[in-house]
Amino acid sequence: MLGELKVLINKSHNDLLKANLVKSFDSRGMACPYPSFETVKAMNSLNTGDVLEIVTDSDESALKSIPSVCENRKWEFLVLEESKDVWRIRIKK
Amino acid sequence: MSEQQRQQEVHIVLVSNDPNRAYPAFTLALGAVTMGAKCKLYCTMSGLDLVKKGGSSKITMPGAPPLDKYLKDAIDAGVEVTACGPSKEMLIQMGITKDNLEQGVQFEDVIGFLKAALPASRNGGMVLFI
Repeated sequence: MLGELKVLINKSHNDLLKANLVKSFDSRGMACPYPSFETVKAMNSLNTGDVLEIVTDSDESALKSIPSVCENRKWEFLVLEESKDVWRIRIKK
Repeated sequence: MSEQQRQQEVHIVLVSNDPNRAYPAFTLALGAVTMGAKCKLYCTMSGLDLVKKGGSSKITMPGAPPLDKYLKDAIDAGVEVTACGPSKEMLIQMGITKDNLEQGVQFEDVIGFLKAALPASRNGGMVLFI
């Protein structure tokens, strides 16, 4: 599976590529700012060190909004491209 | 508290029940708390329709959930939503009482709003009129 994913942004210590995902959610079809809002909500339910994965069909969310939220909150993250219009973002708390 | 530690604040005044204004107001409020800022949404005039029980569910826009979802999510996420009527008579005319405000919404007058918005503004916060 990992072989099909292309790393677009890596602001982590690489271990997010093979991280054990504690929680995931699909934000496809969500209106702005729900992908980012639900990301923070999900992260709030995790413990330090846990990893969340978000699936999105929005390039704005994948490449700009969610990375901005992560940088703002000092979370390590990784943006993976699954296909032309689907991205996966992994965030470590 | 240092500049970096101080939580940024966004104070929004919403005066309309028009979806073209109400949606951006709530989008901004949800975005503000997502970015770690403190946010208040002060509803007055036609904006009061949003905080009257059942009112926000009637405000819709194609491609987005009804506004009651935004309202509930905003309150749950810590956005302080307040309702202001210029007079008791006006609130009565609009059919708004303490008992039919949405849960989590508090009455507040303009002095209450300014008491929080003025120091926030002095400290680099945003005060917006939508």
